Amino acid sequence: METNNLKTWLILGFGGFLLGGLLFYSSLGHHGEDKTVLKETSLTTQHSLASKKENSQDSDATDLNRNSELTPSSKTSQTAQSLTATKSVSALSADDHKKWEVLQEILASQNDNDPRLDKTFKGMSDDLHLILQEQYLEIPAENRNQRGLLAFLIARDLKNTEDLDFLKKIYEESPCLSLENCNSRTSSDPHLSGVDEASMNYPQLASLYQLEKQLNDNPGIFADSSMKDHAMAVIEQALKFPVASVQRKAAEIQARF
Amino acid sequence: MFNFFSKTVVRAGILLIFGSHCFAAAPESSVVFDSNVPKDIQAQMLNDLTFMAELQGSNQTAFHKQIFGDFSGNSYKNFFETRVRKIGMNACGGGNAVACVIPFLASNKMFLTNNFVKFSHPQIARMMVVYHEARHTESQQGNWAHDTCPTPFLDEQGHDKKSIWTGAILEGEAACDSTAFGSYGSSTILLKNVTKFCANCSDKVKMDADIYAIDQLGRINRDDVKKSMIADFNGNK
Repeated sequence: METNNLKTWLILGFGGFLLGGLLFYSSLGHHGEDKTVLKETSLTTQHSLASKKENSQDSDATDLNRNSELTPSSKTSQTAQSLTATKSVSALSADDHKKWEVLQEILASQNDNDPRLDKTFKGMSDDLHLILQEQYLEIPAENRNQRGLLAFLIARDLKNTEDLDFLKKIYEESPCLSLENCNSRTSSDPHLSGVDEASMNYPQLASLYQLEKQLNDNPGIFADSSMKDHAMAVIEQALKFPVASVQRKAAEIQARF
Repeated sequence: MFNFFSKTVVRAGILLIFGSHCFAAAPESSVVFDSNVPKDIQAQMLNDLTFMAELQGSNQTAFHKQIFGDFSGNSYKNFFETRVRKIGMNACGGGNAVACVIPFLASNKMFLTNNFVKFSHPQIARMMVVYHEARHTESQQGNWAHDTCPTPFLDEQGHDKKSIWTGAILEGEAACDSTAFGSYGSSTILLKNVTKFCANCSDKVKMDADIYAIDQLGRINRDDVKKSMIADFNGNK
């Protein structure tokens, strides 16, 4: 009997230990966390755009002179540009403002598969197009995916020659030399160097893909000779962009259209 | 006094304690992170794996069926979780790597670098790297070790294939495959199927899959294998 009691106490004690461990472990928050991390959304562009920006101090490459007119240096203060964007944003219609807020959420979440990308950002107003173009310039150059997303949205929703002029400017940018710092080269492991290079040139590639799709699927918008001329000017500029994969894609499009 | 604590009650209590522990701690992914993996990297990885696990498709090519099974989130989840059980941190040789596996160090373990969150890759590109590396854990297939790229290794224009910025040429590097089923081939097949068959992918994801498939296909150093892959993508046997 006493042995049984001892056993019972041991079992209860062990169980209590496990329960205590469970409570302690749960309090560390290792499990059951949200799987997604939504960065804080903001009505200004500063926070969401700068969320991934980290400048490395130890890259060993040489800085090049950059055509910085259209590509802000990664070290440039964003304050002045953000104020401009904020001022423009405040002038948007209520509907456009709502769309702009949705875009900021998506940019912060880094969820490329957010269904709102396809539901909300087609048939956008001219004002919203302009805001997206402005925001493109405010995003740090190293943020290739975000820049590419904005270029993609504009190209997919081509409306006018102003859009095409914007796309042309993307090919007037200095190429991004590394994902760490667009101004500097870094070493690259050949194993997956192609992925890095595609990402470094992602805004340029995404724009060409969408321009090609427009030429293929919506030829009517190029019935206006001015639109056609501007589209061809984009391709001509892309052919001059000093990256083989971009030139190759531009040449393919030029050959087809 | 202790008669109340019959064996049945005690056993039920133990089951309750164990059960509540398991229930509360059950993660959606079975992958376990080392404690030194920063929270933001864990969150990004889980986010990305959830993205893959939720993909739905209308069909798949024959090669996809061989490697991954049906086009479905379950197939991708299963593919990953049967190959990678733990995730840790490592410099992965430095440079621009975002992920790697080191089979001689730890089988069924993937290592991430700080670049996983620092570098601005599209989501499907990041997952392509992860699935490429997961394929390298298959020790029974020699870890699908890469082939040496041929000398010379030329593009369609007859120029040396090389890194555009470092100038490092690919010829002679262990950065090619001569099979459709290695890491380059399997990730190309994954991406091409996403472009072609994904039913719940955004336009951006489908476009990105196509963009990044091009480089991976370019690492196949046998023309007959490349042709068979293109035929697979086009639905021909």
